[in-house]
Amino acid sequence: MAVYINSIGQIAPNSLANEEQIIAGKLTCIEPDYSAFFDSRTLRRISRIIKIGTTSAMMALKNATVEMPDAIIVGTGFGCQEDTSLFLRKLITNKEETLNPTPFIFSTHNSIASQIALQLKCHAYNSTYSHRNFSFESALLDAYLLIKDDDAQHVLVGGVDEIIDDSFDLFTRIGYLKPTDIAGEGASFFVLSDVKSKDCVAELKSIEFVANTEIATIIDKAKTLYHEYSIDAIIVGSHPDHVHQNDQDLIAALKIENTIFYKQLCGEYATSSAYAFATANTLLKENKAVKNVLIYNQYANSNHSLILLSAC
Amino acid sequence: MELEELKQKLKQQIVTQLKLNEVKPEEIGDDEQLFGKGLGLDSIDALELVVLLEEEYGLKINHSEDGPKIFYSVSTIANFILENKKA
Repeated sequence: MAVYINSIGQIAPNSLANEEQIIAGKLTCIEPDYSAFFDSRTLRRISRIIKIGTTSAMMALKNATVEMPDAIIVGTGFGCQEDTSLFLRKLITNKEETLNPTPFIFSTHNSIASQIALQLKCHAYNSTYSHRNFSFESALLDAYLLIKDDDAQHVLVGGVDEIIDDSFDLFTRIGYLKPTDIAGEGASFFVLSDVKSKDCVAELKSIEFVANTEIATIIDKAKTLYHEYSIDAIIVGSHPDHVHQNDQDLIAALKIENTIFYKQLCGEYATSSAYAFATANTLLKENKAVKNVLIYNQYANSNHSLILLSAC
Repeated sequence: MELEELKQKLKQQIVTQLKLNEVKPEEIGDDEQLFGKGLGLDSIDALELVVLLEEEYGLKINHSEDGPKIFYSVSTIANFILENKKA
């Protein structure tokens, strides 16, 4: 059974990001007017990441003309950081007493998937994966298997993370963000289905992610995919001015000229591979000569993922 | 603090604490019902108002059954504050 990517809903930094948009090392989302997506009571209560995630999810459903998905699956590396930060700061300021309920309620990682379900009144399978830089990949694999096993027909799946001042400072201090990284954020949601919609251009063929391995292992896996699918474009995370050695090695090994560097567009964040997934879909839509696209994402030489999309 | 001054301050605090971005403090009537009808607040807002009373006025509501009477309107909250501050 094939797994088709029937739609995308995305809120991200401007895809033509330039130096002026990078403020204090951060690349932040261009956000829409949310009043069309939420009632005023919800709007005043939910934080920015929930707005970004839920709105992107609604866009994906609308674009796929799917009113009610069979499953909602969200990947988020760090969850609702703004509410978590608010809650923790109050915890200290108020000496663990008189804590506001709203940031506490919405600080959990699964608040985004929950809000999507509340908006839709959807009682179907609802899951959140928070596996740092494998969060989107884990969500995508779950969606893929649900469809392959015929447990769901339409699955709403996405990756979302936000960057706030507190986490930017912490990530920089602990080295999660490297000096050459631009911190990013964004939400990319997709409707995956076992049937192809009229606007569908891509099929998810393969997803694999491996932790704590050498690049040679990844190159072997990529070569296997290359021989099976005749890959003609590759999307990697590096900034073109600072190409990571792993990306250089993979590009050299596969000898693919058509290479796209995507983190210059969205910044570095735990679920940035969801942005790459959308980029691959767009590439297949806009360049009919491209038939098979491989996405390679890696973080800190320890989290590697390979995702393959094919034109359909 | 006089009753009228307190009511105006409370309206501002309610709008800020509950992020009622579409409501101007002066639009809230002194005796307007805050929950259900009127301003349409809900149970999470009630908890936020409990926190507001504790943080800003050092007052706790010892009996939860008193909540609906105390939080009925801006006037009832203001009266509760003045009565208990005096005590």
